[in-house]
Amino acid sequence: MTLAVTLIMLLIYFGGLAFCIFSNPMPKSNFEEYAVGGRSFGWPFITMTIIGTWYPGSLLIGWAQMGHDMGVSVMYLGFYTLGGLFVFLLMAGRLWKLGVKYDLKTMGQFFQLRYKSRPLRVFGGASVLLIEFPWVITELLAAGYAMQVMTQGRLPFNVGMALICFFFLLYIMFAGTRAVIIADFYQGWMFMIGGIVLFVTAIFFFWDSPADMFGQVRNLGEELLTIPGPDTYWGEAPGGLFWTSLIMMGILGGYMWPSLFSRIFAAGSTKDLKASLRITPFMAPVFTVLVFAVAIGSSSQTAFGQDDTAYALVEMISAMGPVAMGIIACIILAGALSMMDSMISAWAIVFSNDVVTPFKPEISPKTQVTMARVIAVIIGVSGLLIAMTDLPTIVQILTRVYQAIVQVFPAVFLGLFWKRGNKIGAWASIIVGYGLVIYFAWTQPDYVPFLDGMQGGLLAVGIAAVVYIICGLIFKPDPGVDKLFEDMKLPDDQIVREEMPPLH
Amino acid sequence: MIDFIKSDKGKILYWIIGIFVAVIFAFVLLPPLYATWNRIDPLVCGIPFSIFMCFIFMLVLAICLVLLYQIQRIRGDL
Repeated sequence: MTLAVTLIMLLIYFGGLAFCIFSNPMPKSNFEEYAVGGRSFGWPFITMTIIGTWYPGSLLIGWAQMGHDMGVSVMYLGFYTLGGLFVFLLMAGRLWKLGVKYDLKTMGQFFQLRYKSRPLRVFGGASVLLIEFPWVITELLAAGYAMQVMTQGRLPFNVGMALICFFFLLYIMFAGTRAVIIADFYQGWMFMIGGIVLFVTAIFFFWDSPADMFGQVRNLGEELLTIPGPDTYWGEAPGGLFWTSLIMMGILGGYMWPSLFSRIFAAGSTKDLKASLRITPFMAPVFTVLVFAVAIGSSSQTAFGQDDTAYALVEMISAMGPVAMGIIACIILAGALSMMDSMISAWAIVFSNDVVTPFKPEISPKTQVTMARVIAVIIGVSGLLIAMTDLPTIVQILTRVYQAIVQVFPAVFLGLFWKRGNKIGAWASIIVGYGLVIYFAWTQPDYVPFLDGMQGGLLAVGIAAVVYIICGLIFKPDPGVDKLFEDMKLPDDQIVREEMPPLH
Repeated sequence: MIDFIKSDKGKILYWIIGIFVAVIFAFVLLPPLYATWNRIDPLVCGIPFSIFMCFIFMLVLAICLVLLYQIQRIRGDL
C-alpha cells in the first residue's frame, strides 16, 4: 500500500513536470534563446528560478543533519540568504542592463567587457565552473536518496541517481534555460508550499506544540539551542568567528555561482528581475526557520537517524505515513532537480561561451547550441560517476567550495561600482584569492583555529579586495569604462543592442 | 508619501534603511553582539530566545529588502 501511494505520487510529480517542460519548446533555435531563454521571463518565473536554484534538495539531508547535530547554528543559511539578496539588489540591475546591451550571458563575458581581457574571460569562466561542480554531486546524492525513499529501497541508489540525471539532461537538451526556468517554476512552488504544510503538520504530529518540541530538545542538552560562539564553546566548536564567516561567505559568494549569475540575464526587464524580491526574502524567516526548527527538533526523536543522522529528518517525516513520505521525497527531488538543472545548463553555456567561443569566434550560433547540449551531457554524466564514489559529508563539501567561489566577488562587485577597478586588479585579486584558498584547503580546510574559527576563504577574500583596490589606485582604469558606467544607468527602454567593444 | 519618496529628499530613505540593515547585521555577525541574544531564556511562547531572535532578525531584513525594492520602483531607480 505504502509503495503504491509513493509510486503514484512519483508519477504525478514527473508527469506534471514533463508536461510543463515539453509543452513549451524554444520559439527560435539560437544561442540567446538557449542560454537565457530569449531574456523574456517575468517576475514570477524569475522568483521561482532563484528560489529553486538557491534552495537545494540537500537542505533536508545535509543541513538537516547540521540542525540535528549542531542545533541553532544551522540558521546561518537564512541570514546568508538574506544578505545575498542585498548583494543581488545592488548589482542585478546594472548587470542586466549590460547583459541586454552587449548580449552577455555569463560571468566570463562580463569580465571581458569590464576588464577588456579575453584570458580573464576564459580563466574566470572555467574556474567558477570547476568550483561549482561539487554542488551537482551533492544534489545527485540527495536525489538518489529521495528515489530510494519513494521506492521503499527497491530501486538501487545509483540507479535512482542515473534516472534523475537522464531526465534532467533530456529537458536541458530540449530547451536549455527555457526548460530549466519552467521546471524551476513548477518545482519552486512545490518546494515552498509542500514544505511549509508538511513541516507545520510534523510539529503537531510528533509534539504538542513548538514549545513542547524545543522543551524536549532542551532536555537533551542546552547547547543545541545556542550558537557556538564567544561565550558558548562546546564540543568541537571552532570559535566565535566561525558562525560569522559562514554567513559572510554565503553573502559574498551566493550570487557569484555561475548558475545564479546567469539567471540575472534571463529576466525580461530590471523590474521583472527585482520584483522577485516581493517573495524571495520571506523564504528565509518562514521556510528556513520552520524546516530547521523541525530539524533541530528531530534530535529529540531518538528512534530516527540511528545509522546516520543525515537521514533523521526524512525518516521522521516518513514515519507520519505514505503521503508524508511521498511529499518529503518530492520536495527533495524538487530542490535537487531545480538546482542541478540550473547548474548544468549554466555550466554548459559557460563552457561553450567562455572557454570554446573565444578561441573559435567564427562558430555559428547553431553549433554553439549543439555544443552546449553535448557539454551538458558530459558534465551530467561526470557528476553522476563521481557521485557514485565515497565522499565527505554534504555540508563539508559545500562550505569548502564556498571559500573558493567568493574570491571572484571583488572583481565582479567592485567592478560594477568602482570605475578605477582595472584588469590588473581583477587578475591579481582572483589569483591571490584562489592561491590563499588553495593554501588553506591544504592546511585548515574548514576553519582556522588561530583566527578564532574564521574560515580561510574569508581572510583570502578580504586580502583579495585590498589587492584589487590597491591596483585600482596605482594603475590606470581600463579604456571605455566611462561608457560602461553610463550604460548601467540607462532606463530599460533606452537600451540599444551593441557589439561588445573590441579588445585593445 | 509617494511624492516624498520621489523627491530628492526621498533618497534619505535608502540611508535610513541601510543603517538599520547594517545594525541588524552587526548584531548577527559580530561575536560580542550576537552573544547578547545567543541564549535560551527568556522563552518566547516556549521558543528559545536565540531561535526567536533569528526569526525576528530575518523577518526584519526581509521587510527591509521589500521596502528597498519598493522605494527603487517608485523613484525609478531600478
